[in-house]
Order: sequence, then structure tokens, then C-alpha cells
Amino acid sequence: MTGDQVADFERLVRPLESQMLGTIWKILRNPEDVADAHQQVLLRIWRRWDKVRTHPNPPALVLRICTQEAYDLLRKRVRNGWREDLATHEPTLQDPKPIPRETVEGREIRAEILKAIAKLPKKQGLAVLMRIVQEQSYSEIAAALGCSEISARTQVARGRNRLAERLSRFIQIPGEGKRS
Amino acid sequence: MNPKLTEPDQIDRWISEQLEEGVPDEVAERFHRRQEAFFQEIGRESSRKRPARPGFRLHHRLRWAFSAAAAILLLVGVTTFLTNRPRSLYARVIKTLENTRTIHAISNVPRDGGWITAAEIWYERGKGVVEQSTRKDVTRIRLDNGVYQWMYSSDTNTARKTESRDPIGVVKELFDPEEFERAFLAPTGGVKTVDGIECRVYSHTNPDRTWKMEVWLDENEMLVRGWKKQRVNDKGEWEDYKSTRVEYDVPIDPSRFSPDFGPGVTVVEAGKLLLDNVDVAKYNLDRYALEKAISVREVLGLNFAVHEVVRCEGDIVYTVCSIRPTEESLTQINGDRSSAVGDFTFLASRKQPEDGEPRWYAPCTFAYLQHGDLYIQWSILILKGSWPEKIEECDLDAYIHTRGLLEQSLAAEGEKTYKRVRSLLVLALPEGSTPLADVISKVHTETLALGQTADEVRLCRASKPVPGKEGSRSRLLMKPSELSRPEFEADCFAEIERLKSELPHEKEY
Repeated sequence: MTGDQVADFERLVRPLESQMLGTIWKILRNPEDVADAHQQVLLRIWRRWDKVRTHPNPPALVLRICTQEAYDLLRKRVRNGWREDLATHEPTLQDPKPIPRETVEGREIRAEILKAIAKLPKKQGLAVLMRIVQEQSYSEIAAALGCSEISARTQVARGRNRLAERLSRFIQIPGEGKRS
Repeated sequence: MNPKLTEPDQIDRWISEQLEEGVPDEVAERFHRRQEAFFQEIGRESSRKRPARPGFRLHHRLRWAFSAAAAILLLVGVTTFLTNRPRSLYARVIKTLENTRTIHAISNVPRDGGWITAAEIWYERGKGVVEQSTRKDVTRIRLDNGVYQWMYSSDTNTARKTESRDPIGVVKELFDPEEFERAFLAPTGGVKTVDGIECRVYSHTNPDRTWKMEVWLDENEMLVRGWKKQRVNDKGEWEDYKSTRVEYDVPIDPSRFSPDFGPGVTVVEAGKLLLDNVDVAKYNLDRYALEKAISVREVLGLNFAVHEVVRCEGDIVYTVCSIRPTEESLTQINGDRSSAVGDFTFLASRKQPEDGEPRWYAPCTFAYLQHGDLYIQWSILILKGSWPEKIEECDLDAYIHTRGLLEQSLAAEGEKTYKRVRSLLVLALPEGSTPLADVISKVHTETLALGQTADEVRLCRASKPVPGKEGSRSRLLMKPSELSRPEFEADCFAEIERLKSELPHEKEY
């Protein structure tokens, strides 16, 4: 790596910091896991810099790497026995107030959602995360999974159906949702 | 199992909303420092003449860098706690909202070359919040006075009264953290004057670059004065999509917070208010134990059980049935009792007797419950066609479906995962008749009470045609606490009347 390449690396990654963090955080919800995934992401981008910089859309590739690394770690965590406290960020010294009931319920639901996503077949899980959490287009998902757009749509639909079934007891009444 | 869960947009939106939670400040800070440490490390590596051995050496060195960064962060964390460092810009803006006396926000959307008001919010500390929006000629008002909340809709001319939600929370929902936190990370360097107040301009574009927003923040008062959203149109150009202006500490007409929605509006109580007259402790799932069932039959590794049979006027048959895994099936799925592994749908049970006159039932579901591996359904069977004067028994025909782990297990073994069963059980009907209205009322009360502890309980509303799908109808499912007894009764009778009026042969059940 030359100094110029390092500068290019920084120019690409630095502006994406908040998006990278948001992507990893949404999937892992635990500071230690976020740190682990972040390290893996940076190393992976660094080691494959030539591929990343010549990619048609490097920012999208970086965010995809974030999703993949975070999802791999999430699956590993769930395989090794999920701990509820890993699903969420616990209050820190900065926020010693008791957790409101609503927040506790929200955490339980989030934990269930993440567990359900982790238990999907890998391709489906990635497709669902990219579509629902990251709002990626089907063409982007297809590119990431190395499949056709139709296949990407199928993966998302199947994953969604499985999630809906596994999470049906949490689903809220339609029409009372959050305002857009 | 649950028809409404097949709406992809609803599921996507719900999951996305559940996962929307801002990143805690200290996590963001650690992330930032870790990234900066990485940049420094690769910078040092690149400045050395001897190239680093890819992978191992860097990784080894980075461990030291990360360890050092972790130590620094611990120190920063403790210092932060001790000095009560101000939170993120977003957190400070939200905190300021809580200290504001009144808030008035108005959202406009472009229409026919101009702008029209799509939604408006009035908030006054101690008095409550009113949110009014109009879409497709339907006006919706949410009024929350801190004690009760009313949700009014002009299409039904009904206001649903429930317990209060947090009034300031309604205002905070305007400032979606997913959008605003990101925007606040990106000042454009621009300044915009809003109502004579100089504001700093922040912006955020989504990763797909399909929409973007510009936020105008009054940094002196730490108040958002407005924002504008744009999206990419079919031509690939940015176009205005929504513009919101916010005023603070302006006078608000006190009558806005009065629950007066105009003449002829029906107010129905819902939510926890419905529980006021229900003895919740009286109801539990013990009465649906398998050993207490009237009749049981095993199908596809599931125990189908009948718990109650009632004859109502017009020989309508009311029945409560359940389904749960057999002991053998439980072993097959490693004893996992966390979710239902089966459900059922009653069929028309069509008969063509020797006299040549067809007769059948029109089944109608009132409610269902799922708790662990137990699934219960409250239903009626309406007699159609040419029946004898009085029937003594009734055949249940049903589709039995396996679900979840049991379905997967059967599928893996190449077995059928669902089955149509004729004469699943024959119900002997009691001599006496019970008014249908009493039965429906009882279903509402019982499901309302069970809804406090069961995993999921839903009441079925009257069916409505599916737009664009001729001949198809769908039924909205609602929590018992969201549907008052009069509404539920009206829906049940409307559905019964519709089923009764359907012509013979018109529909396969």
C-alpha cells in the first residue's frame, strides 16, 4: 500500500462512518459485537482494497461488507446460545435511570427479530437485511448475492414469510403504525 | 396462520420500525476512535519501506492499537460520566422539545403546482397534543390530553377512546432519529432564514440516493425550525415531496384540546378502558386442557379438540375448538413448545343427500388465540341449503395444517404437511338454544381477558372486498383491546348476514 492508496482508503471510508455504524448496530445491538464486526470490516476492506476501489460502487460494497460481517457474527452468536442482554445496548453509567416498560418490550421484540433473522438460511437472511433494514434495491441485492434479480426477490419473499410466521405474535395491528 | 401477515409492506415496515433505534453516543464515539486508530495504523504501515506482511502483521499490530484505544475509551467513558458531557446534537434537540411550552408543526405536500397541508400538530405542555391529517379525503385526528387518547376518523365518524400515550412522544415521533441523527452529522455549511431566524442547514441522503432531506436548525435555541424532503422522480430528477415548518411557544386555542369531533360522532372505548368491567382473573386457559375436551381426534401429529358446542337461533352452531401437538410430535420437535405447530380452517361440509337437496355450512371465524403450542378458534357454522327442520348433530370438515417445526419435520420426511379431513368429528348439538348475541358478547369478554396473558389473541372484523381482486374478500384482525364489544357484535352480525345472503353455489368454503 502506498501513501496515496491509504489516502484513497480514508477518503472512501471516513464519510461512510455513520452509515457503517448504523448498519452494524442495527444487526448486532451490542457494543462489544459492534467492535468485533467493525474490526473485521476494516481489515476486509483493507486486504481487498484493489477489489473495493475498482468496484462500480465502492460505498455500496463497503456497506454490504458491513452487513455480511455483522450478519455472520449474529449467526455465530445465536448458534452459540443467545443471551438476551446481547441483543440490546444496556444502559450505561451515563443513563442510570430505570428502563421504561415500553423499552423492555421493544428490546424483547428486537431480540426476537434478530434471532429469527439469524436462524434464516444465510442467503435469505442477508437478502432480508439488505431489503428491509437497508432498503436496498433488488438489483443491489442480486449483485451482492451473486444471483438474478428474480432470485433475489424470491429470497426476500421467502425470508419475509418465515419471519412473519416466527414473529406473528408480535405483529401490531395495521393502521396504527408510526407516521412516516 | 395469520392472513394479515402476508402483506409484505406491512411486515417490512414493522420489522424496520422495530429495529430503528439510535446508536448510543458512547458506541458511536468508540466506533469513531477505532476507525481513526485504524487509519493511523495503516498510515504508519504504508510509510515504512518494508511492506507489511499482509494480514497477520497488520492484524497483530492492530490488536495493540485496539487495546490502546479501548483503554483510552474507558478513560473517556469514566470522564464523560463524571462531567455529564452533553449528548449528541440530536439528543440535545429532543431534550429542548421537552422544555418547550407549545409546539405547532405543519407539513405541506406539493399538489397541482402548489402546496397543500397534509398534517398539523399542536402541542401544549400540560394540556396535550392534537395531530390532524387528511389523506384521500379522510380526516384523522389524534387527541391525547395526558389522561385519554381519542383517535377520530371521518370515514367512520367514530372516535376510539383509549388510555393516554405520552403526548410529547407524539411530537418526538416527528423527529425520526434515523433521519435526523444522520442529518445532524452532515452540516452543509449553508444558512437559511426561517421566520426571521437564522438556521444552520444540515442534510441527509439515503444510501440508495432515492430521497434526501434538508434540516434547518436554530443553533441558538437548539430548535429545529423546519425541514424539506425531496425524492427522485421517474425522470431521475429531484422533486419536492414534503416540507415541514415548526413554531415554538406560540399561543394555541384551548378548544383544540377538547374531545369534540363534531355532531353525530360515536365514541367507542378501547384499550385498557375495556378491561374496567372484566374480571380478568376469572378467565384462563385451563378450560381448554385436552382432558377437559368434549371430543378429540389425532390428525397429522396434532390433537384436534372440541371444547364447546352451542346451538343458537336458526340452528347456527357455535363451537370452540383447539389444536396442539401430540406428545409424539413434541418429541419429534425436541419439546419446543414456543409456538403453535398447527391450525385449522373449517370447510363448508357440503352434503348431497339422497333426496337431492344440497345442504352445507358456511363457516365463520370470530376469533383465534395462540399461546405457546396451543391454537384455539372460536367459530360458528351457518346452515345453508335445504336442511331438515331441526338438526341433531353436525359434521365438522376441516383443513388441518401443520406449521413451523412440525411442518418442516414432516416435509423433510416427504410427508404431507396438511390434510383435508371430512367428518373430522361429529358434534352432538344440545337441545336448547342460546341467543347468538350472548355468545358473541361472551367471545369478546373472554378473548379480552385472555389477551392479557396469551401470546396472541385476535378478533376478526367483517370482511371487505379486496380492491382490484374481484370476488376476493379479506378480514382485518384486531386485538380484543382495540375493538369495543358493540363494534365486534356489529361486525359479527354483518358477516353472518353476508354469508346468509350469498346464493347457493356462489362460493366454495
